[in-house]
Amino acid sequence: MDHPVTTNRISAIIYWLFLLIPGILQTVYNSFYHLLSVSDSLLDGLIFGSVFGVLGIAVWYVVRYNDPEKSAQGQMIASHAAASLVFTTIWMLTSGILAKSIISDPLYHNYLYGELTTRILAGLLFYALLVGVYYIYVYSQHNQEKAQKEAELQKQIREAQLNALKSQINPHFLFNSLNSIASLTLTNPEKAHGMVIALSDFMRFSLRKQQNDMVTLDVELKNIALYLQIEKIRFENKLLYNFEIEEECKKHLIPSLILQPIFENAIKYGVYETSKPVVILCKAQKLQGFLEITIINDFDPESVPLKGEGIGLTNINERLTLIYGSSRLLTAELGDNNFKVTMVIPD
Amino acid sequence: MNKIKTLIIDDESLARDLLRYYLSKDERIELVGECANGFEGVLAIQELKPDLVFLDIQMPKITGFEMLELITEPPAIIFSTAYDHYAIRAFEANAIDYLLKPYPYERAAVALNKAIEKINSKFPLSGVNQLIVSHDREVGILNRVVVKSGRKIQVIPVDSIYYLESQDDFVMIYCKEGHFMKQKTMKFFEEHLETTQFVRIHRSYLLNLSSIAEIQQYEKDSWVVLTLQGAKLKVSKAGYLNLKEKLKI
Repeated sequence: MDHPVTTNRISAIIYWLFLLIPGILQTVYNSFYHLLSVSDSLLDGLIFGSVFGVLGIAVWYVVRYNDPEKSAQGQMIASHAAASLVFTTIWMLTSGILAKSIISDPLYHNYLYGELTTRILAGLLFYALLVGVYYIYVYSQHNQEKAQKEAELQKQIREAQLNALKSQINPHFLFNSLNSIASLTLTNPEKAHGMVIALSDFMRFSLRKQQNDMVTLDVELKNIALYLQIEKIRFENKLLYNFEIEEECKKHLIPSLILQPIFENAIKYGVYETSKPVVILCKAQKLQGFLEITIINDFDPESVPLKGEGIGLTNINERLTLIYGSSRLLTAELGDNNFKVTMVIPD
Repeated sequence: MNKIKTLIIDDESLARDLLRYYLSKDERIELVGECANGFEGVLAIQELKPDLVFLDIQMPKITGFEMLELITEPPAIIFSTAYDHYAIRAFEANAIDYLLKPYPYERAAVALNKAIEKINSKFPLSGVNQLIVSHDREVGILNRVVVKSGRKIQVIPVDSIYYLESQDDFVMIYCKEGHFMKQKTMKFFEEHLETTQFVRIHRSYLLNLSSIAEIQQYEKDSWVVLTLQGAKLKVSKAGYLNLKEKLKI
């Protein structure tokens, strides 16, 4: 957050104009009640006013350091109590020494000693007023930032939803599967039967689940098993897969369909791009209360896959960030002939 | 009348099973082979010289289109694919036919009749070449180029290309894997390689910026680029301006 006075010309003018008001009042009061000369009264007002103004600019940093969004109340009060004392002391010493050396009238010197307590109290009061104005500014800035952040979040949620819809209905997968069924009905009706049922179950799960639903790992993996089962009928021995899931992980909640795109990628860049068998290994374990899911797939290092247009890891990461507020839950490692994705799900 | 020698190229065995079944119903057809990828497909077309090929598009390593680029005298092609990408529409006019999986026997029969009519009509099969040309317009920025030297097929990632040189009506690609001839125009590569990476430095050269070692001036309006691999390439005046712009010098 920028300094409201030094970085904005209009607010700087307002700031100094406002300081004029107590300065003028002070001058009028002094020359009428204490019978100081007008020039001495003016000088007095000018010196105390401008020293206050300069010090007041520095007070902003005390306010910035004690952001109400981040700091505890007790700490804020303590900081400001200490700062107000330091502020008033410096103000009194600097202005007093300046005034005494500039204004030579002994009448003024006497007056100044008499006024000391009032001025210290005034210093504390002005400090409080100034801090109040600064905090109003801080709050309004925070509100603006929050509104912007909120709008950005909404936009990201909408995009994630759209992308999820797109991935649910992957036409390439759907029509190739239907073609396999068409083929099996003639050669192996029993297998065709199994594939129709697997495909139906898979589609039903994908269509019913909403982007923001949470499901247990067990349920999500059962659906992925259906997906792999279907692809296995198409690719036979070219696709091998293995799940190593610790028992205690099965009931852990994860966002629905969050793993699906990772398996789709494994099939797309692994199985589709090679003539050799590809193994997909999925592991899940508990680590200090977190659920860690690892998916490793082989790929053919000689293949040069065409640029994907698919649902990338970026998208999954965006979703995890939206849900859990951390952007470091997903990592990917590219090995010589395998690709490893690790996802960490908090409790 | 001779039977129509037909080849199936599809990576899924179930898809081949179905097509084989359809083809067996037509007595004019003789199935001469089946391939599970484009590499096998190129060799099978050269050796078996089929009249007709049923071709899938998305297959391991190279697509059906990339495979066709490697064949000098392509047979009649019927696409058989689930890939309903926008590109498909562009071929409608040129391909003998394209079939969207899954399709019934009746639909395959229509395509077969069209193909047989065309094969027996004695007119040259211009369809496929037009098809590749129209495909070129649809492809975006390339990230790989498929070439053939002898019997070996190479998939070259564009990042490993040093430079391209135009030679008559083909382009020579110099890359980490060696140098390969490709039946394409320089203009095609200029339009389909990443422009931030490849610069036309001369009528005959398209250069990968990352392979520049040095640029030397040897006459007024005439420069040479020395590549990291030790090649010396002429740079024209227009080419030098292009280079300056891309390298921001």
